[in-house]
Amino acid sequence: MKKIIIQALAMVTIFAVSNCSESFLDSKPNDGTVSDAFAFQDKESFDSFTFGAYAEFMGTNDGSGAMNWVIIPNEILQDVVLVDEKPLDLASKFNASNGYIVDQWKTFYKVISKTNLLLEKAKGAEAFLTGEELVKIEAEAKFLRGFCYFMLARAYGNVPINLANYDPTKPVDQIDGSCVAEQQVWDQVISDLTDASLSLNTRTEWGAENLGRATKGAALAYLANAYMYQKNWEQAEKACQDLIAIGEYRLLENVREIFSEENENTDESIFEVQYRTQETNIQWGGQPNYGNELSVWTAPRQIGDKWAINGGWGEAVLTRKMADSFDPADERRKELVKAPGETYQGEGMSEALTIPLTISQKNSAFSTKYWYGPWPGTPEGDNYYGGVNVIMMRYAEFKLNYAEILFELGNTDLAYEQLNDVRVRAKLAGRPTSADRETFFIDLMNERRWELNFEPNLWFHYTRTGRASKFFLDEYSLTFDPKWNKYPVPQSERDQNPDLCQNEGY
Amino acid sequence: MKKTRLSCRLYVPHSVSFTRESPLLSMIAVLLLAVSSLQVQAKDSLDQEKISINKESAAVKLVLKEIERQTKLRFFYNTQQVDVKRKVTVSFKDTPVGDVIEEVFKGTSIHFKFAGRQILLFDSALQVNPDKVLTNPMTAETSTTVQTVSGKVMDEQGQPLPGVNVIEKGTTNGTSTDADGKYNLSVSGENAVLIFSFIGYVTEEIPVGTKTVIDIKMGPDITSLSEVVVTGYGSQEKKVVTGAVASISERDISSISVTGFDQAMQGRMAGVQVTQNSGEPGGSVSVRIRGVGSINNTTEPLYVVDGIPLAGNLNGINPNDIERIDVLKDAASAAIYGSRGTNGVVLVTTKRGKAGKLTLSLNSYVGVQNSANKVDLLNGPQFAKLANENLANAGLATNPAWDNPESQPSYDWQDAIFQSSSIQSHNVSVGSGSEKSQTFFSLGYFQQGGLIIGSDFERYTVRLNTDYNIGNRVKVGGTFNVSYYEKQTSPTDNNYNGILTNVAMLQPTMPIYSDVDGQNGVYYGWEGYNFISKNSSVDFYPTGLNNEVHTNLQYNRRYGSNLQLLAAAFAEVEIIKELKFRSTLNVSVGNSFGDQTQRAAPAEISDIGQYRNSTKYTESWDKTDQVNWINSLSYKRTIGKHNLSALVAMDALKNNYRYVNVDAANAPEEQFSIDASDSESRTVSGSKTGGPSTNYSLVSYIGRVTYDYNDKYLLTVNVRRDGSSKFAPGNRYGTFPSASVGWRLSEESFMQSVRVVNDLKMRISYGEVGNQNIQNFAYYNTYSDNRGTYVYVLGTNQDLVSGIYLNSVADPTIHWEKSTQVNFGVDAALMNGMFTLSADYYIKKLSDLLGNVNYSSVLGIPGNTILRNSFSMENKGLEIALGFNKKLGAVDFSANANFSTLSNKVTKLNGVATDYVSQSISVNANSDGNASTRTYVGDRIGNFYGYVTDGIIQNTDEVSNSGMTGLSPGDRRYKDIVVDGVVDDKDRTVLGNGLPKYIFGLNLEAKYKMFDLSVFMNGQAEVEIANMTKFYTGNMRFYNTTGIVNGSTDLLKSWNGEGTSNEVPRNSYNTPNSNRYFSSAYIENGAFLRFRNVQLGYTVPSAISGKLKMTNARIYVAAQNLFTFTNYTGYDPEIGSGNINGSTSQSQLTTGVDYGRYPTSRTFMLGVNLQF
Repeated sequence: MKKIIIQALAMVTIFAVSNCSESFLDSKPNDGTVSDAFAFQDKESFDSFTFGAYAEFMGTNDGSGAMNWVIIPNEILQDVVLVDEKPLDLASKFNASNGYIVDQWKTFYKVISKTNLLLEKAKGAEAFLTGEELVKIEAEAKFLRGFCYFMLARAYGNVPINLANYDPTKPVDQIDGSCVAEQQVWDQVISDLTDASLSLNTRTEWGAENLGRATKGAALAYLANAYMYQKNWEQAEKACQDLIAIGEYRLLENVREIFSEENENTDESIFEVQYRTQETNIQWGGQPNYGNELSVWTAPRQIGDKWAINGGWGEAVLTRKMADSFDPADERRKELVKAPGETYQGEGMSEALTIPLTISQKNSAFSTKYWYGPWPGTPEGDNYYGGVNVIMMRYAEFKLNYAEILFELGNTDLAYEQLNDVRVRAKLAGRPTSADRETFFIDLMNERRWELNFEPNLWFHYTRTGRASKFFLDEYSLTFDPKWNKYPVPQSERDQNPDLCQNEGY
Repeated sequence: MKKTRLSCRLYVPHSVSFTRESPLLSMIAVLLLAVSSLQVQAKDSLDQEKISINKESAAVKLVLKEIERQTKLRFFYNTQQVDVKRKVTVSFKDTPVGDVIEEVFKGTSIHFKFAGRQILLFDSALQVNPDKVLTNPMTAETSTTVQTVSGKVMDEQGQPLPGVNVIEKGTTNGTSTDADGKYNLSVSGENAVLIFSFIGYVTEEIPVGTKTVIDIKMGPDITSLSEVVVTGYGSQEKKVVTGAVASISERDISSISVTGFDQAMQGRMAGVQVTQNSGEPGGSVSVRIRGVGSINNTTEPLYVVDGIPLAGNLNGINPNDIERIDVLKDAASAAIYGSRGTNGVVLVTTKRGKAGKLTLSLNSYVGVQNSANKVDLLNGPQFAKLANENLANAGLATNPAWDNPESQPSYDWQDAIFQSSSIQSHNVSVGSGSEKSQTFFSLGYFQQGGLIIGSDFERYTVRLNTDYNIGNRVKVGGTFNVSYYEKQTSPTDNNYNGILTNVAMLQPTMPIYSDVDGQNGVYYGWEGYNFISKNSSVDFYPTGLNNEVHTNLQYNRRYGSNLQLLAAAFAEVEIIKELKFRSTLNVSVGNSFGDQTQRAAPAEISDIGQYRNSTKYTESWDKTDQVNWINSLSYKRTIGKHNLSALVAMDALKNNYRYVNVDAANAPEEQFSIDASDSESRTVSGSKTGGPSTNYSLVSYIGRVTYDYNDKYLLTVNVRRDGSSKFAPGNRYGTFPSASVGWRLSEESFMQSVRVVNDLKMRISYGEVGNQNIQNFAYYNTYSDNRGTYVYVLGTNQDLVSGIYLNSVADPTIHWEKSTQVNFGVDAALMNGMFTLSADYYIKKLSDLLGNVNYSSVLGIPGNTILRNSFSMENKGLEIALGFNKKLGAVDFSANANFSTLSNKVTKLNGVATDYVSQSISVNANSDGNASTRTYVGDRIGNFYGYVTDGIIQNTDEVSNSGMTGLSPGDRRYKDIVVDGVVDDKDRTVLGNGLPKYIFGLNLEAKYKMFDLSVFMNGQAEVEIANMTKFYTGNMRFYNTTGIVNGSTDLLKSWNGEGTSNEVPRNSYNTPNSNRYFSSAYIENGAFLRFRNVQLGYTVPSAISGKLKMTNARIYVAAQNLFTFTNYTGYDPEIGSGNINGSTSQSQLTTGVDYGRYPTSRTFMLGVNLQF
């Protein structure tokens, strides 16, 4: 009997554990790490993940983002020069190993993969979300994805299209995706932005709390721009008309007001990458969390703590030639460009500055679009990261695009009306209407240069319209290499993925 | 400690091995010489002892037990020959015992023979080779008996040894000792030689001469094949082991002074490479069994102490408590540990109490340690001369302070940083026990001072091992081990700011202590700079260099303590005969505390140097808890010549780890701990909570069957199925099978005539094991919402909204790293055990190794890598262990040598974009040209990768042909490997490897009368070291930035015009970075032979020790690391894995990189071993 009891006991002990072994093995990380199982179970987590995608635009997590999107193309254009007033070495910039070229690429694809994940997770989250919420989440994700493909297509041309969350169980040696024809990328841009434009909230709908998120207007403005690449002028016009119909946008009266840290996301702004002053000491090579270095980069070098964070680094300044191209009466020259000897008092400056003629960058001019003084409310000498937003698209640019669309459609009068609205705001006389294509484009491109200098899209208007070569020759006596119409595909990507094509000439 | 005999079972050809059945000693095996088939008549009067017995249908065994109980007689027999389960009926009253036995075995072929108080039972029907019959004392013809010798045979503890065979050499004349170890034998005369042999003991030959009394002590035979080897969840006699298992015994472990038992394995076992990662007290050790087993994960073996996987720190186990260590090397042996077996398994068995007399042991030593080696640095005058030359050669102003080199003082910073320090170890242990309960209790204290100021180690350990027998079928027991240690460290293993490299750079003309009035006795340091800088320019004195003496003693402190409790309780029930159920529950708790204080330096110092202007205090706590429950059912059965055993077991383990770190910046200047009451004065920064916190669990099912036919054909099959929480539900389980076979050729009849061969076994094994020691939850995609660093700005109020982001993309199919291994082995004992040989050849294929697979950033995968099972590697090697044991005249001599080879090849690196895995070992990427190791397919893991030095550029022609720009005559020239006329980073190539191709150890022991001497050496060959200290000491300009530093005496031979040197570049402040590039100039031969331990002991004669109630007393002197023969120019050629800024995570890829490693000390010790 005793024997049987012992035997039974032994068996029970051995198998007691085996029965509960599955739950025994169900260990969970207990350090607050969130896994797939816990993410995406409510609208908040979808929102939060979407913010994580926007955060990539700030470039704070890998050092590449909107600040570089502004500086690099304008340096390429030659209107912006380096700290020593030397123009950018184009050969080194248009190099497949150039860090900026590589980093931009990576940022866009990072956001694309985040939006792919959002779209995939949204499909599986019907239980947690209302139909309305689902539609809004998808619309915002598609805007972000369409925007990224827009940025990629115009800069790199033939790039791979990735629309699905990566399956990490695929065999290791499987190719990650080869490039497709630029045309197909534009189709994707249009598809995503069209979807986004149908369901995204307008500025008003988002409300003050969500100011800064992508809007229906933003989707339409980029959609119009994308159709321009397609030369689909009818659809482009329709997108423009839809945007105007929203009735949320206008040209501000004063050009200076557009670029304000105090009053961001104005009625003229269509899409802005948001930043906020960060009370951390700025340092070379440092990585802010939510501020940026644009102010310190664009302020004249060593102008002093009163007028610039950290005294000003002058890393990216305008050429005198660019400054001199303006009509002296142009408000944009008077308010937004300052040359040595001129006086400026921007936000955050307790007194006006007359830029000394003796500064090291005496042969340059300075854009005040991003140049602010020490931040309001902070003591001078506190070298914080700046909070100036980067405007990616605004109504003035939209109007100039609309002008081009209208001109292409033969509506010359209306085209000049758009262009002249922008001129009038700058206190200039309107240009006379001309049906001559060259005349119109000279007027249009000049206006773009004066209006959009030191903003993210100017260079791409030159490449899209095929006018970069003439600009280089006329303005800077430079021979344009046709391959410069596109950035090279990063070499590191091609090392990884041999199927990736390279743009012609590289 | 009394040497146990329970494990002894020596195999001697053609003998019959007998099991002594005794109620007192559960299992004692004794060698009995083969006997003839002749009927033996009991002549001894013992057979006339009268007994009464009355048993009906009782097993023979019970009858024999009853006889043993009534008399003092003991039966010896082999259960394979004597069927003791046979039922008999006996009924005797006051009958001579001989008659009773005869009646019991009536009608069988079993005969019996009295040998003293022992009764040997044997099967007379067995055929015995007459050649092998050594003796039959009862029937041997003794031709001319002229002399009678008697005496007593004792073990090394002075306890009588019964059953020892005493034979007159060259004859068949012999006897065996009785229960008191006494014998009496008539021999042929003065020329006779007596041979004393006993299983598990070294055979002794003693010439008789005129002596009539010969008392001897027999020493245990450590090379014996009769040992019982611990194999995991059980044990096995060594003779039938079919896997590759290496073992060391208590003697090996205790003969050397070590902090942890892992160190004690160094040089002792073929195929087991033990490297001290740091010579600092309590420093870590890296153990690699059969090479590197992983590319990204740990390659340390699994440690199992008394059957429990060790969850805590190795330093928590007192080496003095260890009875033996067995290392499972091949996959077939390690498969019993399944998913944790890839890197081998180290099984540690601690001492337990034994039935018998209480023994008290005291083992103590005290010693002094000092530095074995200093590197050759410039002295004051040499430095001053070269320093000004360095400046002048660059066209810079020289330092007037160095103008008269001859009159410069010379301060030896190495002397200042190295110190002599003490080492001591004191251990008291008590072993006692009765038949019912046995206890082993020990108390240990170990203290080791540091060779470098500011480091030391102190440990206390307590162990209590208990065993209880409840009735005949139930055993229960427990194991308790508590350890506490404290440690202070001085940071050496660091690629920046290591003490030793900094010390080498400090100017020898600077006083270590200030000699300025009012600062007497104050450490020289940045205070001193104020004094010196009066006539200095910034080029003269580097501002990034600490006065390490000052820093270590006054400003920085790194302290750690560890409290660890390992407790286990077990119960074993014998359900039916030989069917045992055993359940063990283990609870391990480990708590570590670490703090680091960097005190604020006064403003005048902190403004100049690297000291902090506010105190920083960091405190960290971590704890590891483990609960492990093991249940097993084992069974053994012998049917005729078929021996079978089987085991099934279930093992469930849960492990929790938590870690908390608090940084307190701006702590009060004097603060050495966080003072809650003073929270105002400091801010807590950094990760004040959290830190990694993780857990895993493992459920395993284990099965093993061993079978042998007549000890001749051997088979072991293991299988383990492991389920681990580390993997996704679908991939949790893995099965790890193994099989091994052995053939003992020496048992075959055709081998019987080969008398020189005592034992010969061939083994083949195959097994599959895994490595589950990977990061927990690596199969999860993880998301983070790192508030404050991953945010976006929204709304008119510019609110910061936190963004969740995907932290890592995981491969949900991630699984164990796998290893399959084939092993071919041979074990032999020759010439009566004079020679032993064990050789193994293995091929270890490692597949599914985890590696970071690169992905195109188009996929947006964080970091563009996913950890996947996609690398493969192969290790092959030959391992040879040789033993020699012989009495040479009056000297007992033994030699044990081991030698192993390792060939390593990476066979697959799937998914790596660049076709290789690169690991930086750079000190300063800009100046050393990105020093790194590279691991290519088809080559070894972690090859040093850099430029090849091609001498020194002698003239301007050579400058223009150098392929580099900006060079001058006197600069280093590199080979243009990819011949394109330009030397650039494409011209880097493989320079060497830190994994030794050969490792070896040699232990020589000699005993003469009461003296014993042992010499133990170990070493490695065909290995390179990347001597990164050359980056610092090969140039006088600090990091190629600002300031002059001291350097190696090689600088005296600097190039100084055409033809002056082809090795040392010009000595100039302005030389190109390329002179410091990581190149073949850094690569040195890392081979060494080290006299690790030389020990001379004297055993006090028992006449004296007995008076002091001691059973044994020995005193000894020992020297550790007495000599090291090497060509390596750094401190110590024993370089483990590189420690990159405190992280050893990629250690496999940085083996053999020396950043100025804490060297091993030379130690002289005086010790005693006492037994009461």
